[in-house]
Amino acid sequence: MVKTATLTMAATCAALLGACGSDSQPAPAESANADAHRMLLASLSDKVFIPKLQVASAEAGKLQVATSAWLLDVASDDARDAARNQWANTMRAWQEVELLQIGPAGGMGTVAGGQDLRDRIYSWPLTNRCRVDQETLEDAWQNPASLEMEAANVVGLDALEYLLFFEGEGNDCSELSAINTDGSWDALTPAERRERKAGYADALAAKLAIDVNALLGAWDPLAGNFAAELAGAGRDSATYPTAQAALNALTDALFYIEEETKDMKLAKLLGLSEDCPELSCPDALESPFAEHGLANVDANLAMFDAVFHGADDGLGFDDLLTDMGAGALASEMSAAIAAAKQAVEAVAASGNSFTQLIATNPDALLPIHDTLRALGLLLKTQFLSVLDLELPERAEGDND
Amino acid sequence: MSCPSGPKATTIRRGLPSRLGQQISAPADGAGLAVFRVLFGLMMTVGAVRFIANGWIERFFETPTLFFHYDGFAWVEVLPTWAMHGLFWLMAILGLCVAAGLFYRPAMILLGVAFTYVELIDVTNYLNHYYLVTLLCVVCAVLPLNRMWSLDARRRPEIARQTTPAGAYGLLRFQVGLVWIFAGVAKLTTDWLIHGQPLGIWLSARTDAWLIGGMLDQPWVALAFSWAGMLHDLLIVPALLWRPTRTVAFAVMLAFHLVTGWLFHIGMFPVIMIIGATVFLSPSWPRRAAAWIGLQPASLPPASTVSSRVSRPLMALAIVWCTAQVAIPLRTFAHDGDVAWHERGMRFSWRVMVREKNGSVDYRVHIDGRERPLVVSPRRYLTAHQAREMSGQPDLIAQLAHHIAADYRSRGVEVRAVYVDALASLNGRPPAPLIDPAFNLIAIDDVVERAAWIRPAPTTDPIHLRPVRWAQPTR
Repeated sequence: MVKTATLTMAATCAALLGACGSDSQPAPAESANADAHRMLLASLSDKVFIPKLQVASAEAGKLQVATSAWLLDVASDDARDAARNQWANTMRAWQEVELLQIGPAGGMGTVAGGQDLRDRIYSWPLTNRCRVDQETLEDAWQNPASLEMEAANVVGLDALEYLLFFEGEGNDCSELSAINTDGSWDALTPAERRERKAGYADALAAKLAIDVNALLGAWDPLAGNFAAELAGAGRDSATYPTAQAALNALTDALFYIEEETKDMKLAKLLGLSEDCPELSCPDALESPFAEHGLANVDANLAMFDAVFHGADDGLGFDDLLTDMGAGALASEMSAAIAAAKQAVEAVAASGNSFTQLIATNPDALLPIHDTLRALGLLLKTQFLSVLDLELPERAEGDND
Repeated sequence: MSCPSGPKATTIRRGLPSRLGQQISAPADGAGLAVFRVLFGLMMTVGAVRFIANGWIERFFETPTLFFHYDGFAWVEVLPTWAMHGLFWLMAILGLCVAAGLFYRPAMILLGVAFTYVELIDVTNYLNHYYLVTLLCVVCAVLPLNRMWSLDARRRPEIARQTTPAGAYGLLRFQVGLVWIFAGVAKLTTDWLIHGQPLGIWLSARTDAWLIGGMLDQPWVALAFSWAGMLHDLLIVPALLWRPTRTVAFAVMLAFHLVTGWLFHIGMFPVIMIIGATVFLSPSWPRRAAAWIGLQPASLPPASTVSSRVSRPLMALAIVWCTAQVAIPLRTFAHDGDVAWHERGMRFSWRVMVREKNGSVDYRVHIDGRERPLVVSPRRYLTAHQAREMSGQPDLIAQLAHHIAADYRSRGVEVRAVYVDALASLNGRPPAPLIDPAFNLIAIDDVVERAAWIRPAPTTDPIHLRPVRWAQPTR
């Protein structure tokens, strides 16, 4: 009996120690669903993420060529238009990758493996056009090193859009801003301003090409190889202790379609958000000068579609859900994606731009919002439940 | 447990109350409770330091801008972050005081008050084991756990006793035992026993676990775990109380809580239950254990087996307390429908880990002078953690609706109505409406009305998951 009691006490102490240490992850082992998760993540990396990044990188390279051509012939509207067209191609490619704020693209300290690479490429909604105007005037962009030191909102695709597409002669700063009070902005002739904008745009395009390439490099198996972190989650990954953690990180990224695409790019615009006290808020429009708002939404959806269904005969979430017995959910989500894409196509086919519709008939955009909402609903409820996933940014805490 | 009677044992009287009083006042070795006190105090210290170290003060008390209140406790406000840090450090120190038996009673009372205050700040932080800690603090503050192996006993020899009334063990066993019993009853559902959910969902996401991970996505494993969990919870109390099965039961309980603690994020819950289970052991178990390793005499000195008579008011108080402890969880059964869906009576009823629920909530706020309602996401007011907890709990959804209306009104905007599109997925079912979307939530004034606007639970079966075995890409 004494022995029994002692053993019991020893076991109790061991239990307490064990339970206290339960936050640490056990050693990984060969497993079942986790293997499927790793295969899904590996397939998505190979067939979706890296190819999409390659496209974005190639487009960014072409943009650099186009802006350089414009800089060589600043007065040419054709050269500027070519740069604009290439910006649109690059933006289209980026808006697909924009969903991929997982790993290197994500925020340092907020996303596992985050290196803050996204904000250097595209900082929306932190866009600050007055700062871009100030930089245009200051010439600091002529030095690539000083450009590296600049805040994210004066570099990247959003600053480029303003430089390439805004045709007004004024600036976005208040009357009290130094560039207006000291007359330095007005001191420039329209031709000088155009030349500076072309130079600044070219410097930004060069930097953009480097930054997108850096992101691609972070994923590339021959360089940073972040793809291996996903494929090896729970085994030899330094970023993800389990395959489930990696799957969770990816679904966090998918919530872009709900929180950014639906809420920020549409609800606010349509006056459905309390951020917009009016019937519509055109100021909330993304890519307003390039009239690229609808294309951005379409690209976001295209990436969501690719992740959900896989690409190039690769695996997607639909395969996982179907094979684990949630085929009905996979079908419902597929239908929701298709409905959202149809809604976008219907608006695009109308020939009206986002800006026109917001001004004249914002209700025409409601079907896009509503179909995205239906998709987000499935994402937030049954999808999270079936895969036992956590919401983005959910505080890690206890449960019982 | 053997409790030798002393010469000053309670006078024998006729009748059940008298016999009960005798049993309660009978002297029992105080060693078991002394060790329980030490372990409980240390656990509180570790828990408080862990909370600070994990940055949870900032996450749960600094970042949120809105807190959900318990009925009747809307006056509880969060302290500034520096003060919350101070409070948790104070709890850590008080835990050490409790463990050492130093100024035991005031330390335990303060610890209980501080912990309960923290628990009351935000309903979305509710955990069954936090509630258990609060109850144990109350019980332990009343019991004389500092009479043995304590600094108080060393400072004040007149309070030192080697024994304690057997009723102290009984009260703690009752308090801890109720958790298992009600948790077991809560598992008597078709979702749990027939469909193996929500364990099936949770286990199939834990297939990275060492050694057993590869089989955790098998449906039979979820069912086996479900039945084992239910049987454990229902049988562990009698098995721990009955001497012939006690040792085996303790080992099973240990294994059960270690496995659940390892597989799921349940924090300190297994630790609390394991510590709580020590009160079911023989009161002399620490003494025997110490003797076995040569530290102290094996048996209780005969001269120290003096009983302390438990006063009648104290006994009456204990009876009232125990009755309340049974009645509070039982209130769940006063409501029709699935409690995991409507959540009425879910809290404080030991329904531990019986649901996987995710919801989607959007408020439609109708304000004066505006044709189209504003769609307000809960995330505007809540952290992701709060939003997720709220999205499956109708009373919190209603509480936020009232807050939204008040927020608008404070800005000079008259709110006509607040409706909600709230859908929830319970144990993997397709999302279903949780709340009537045509019901104006700010028209709700009292809890009695709640049933009218909560939609019935879905009648479909929960999802049945299959293991996925991909040798190579399926396409």
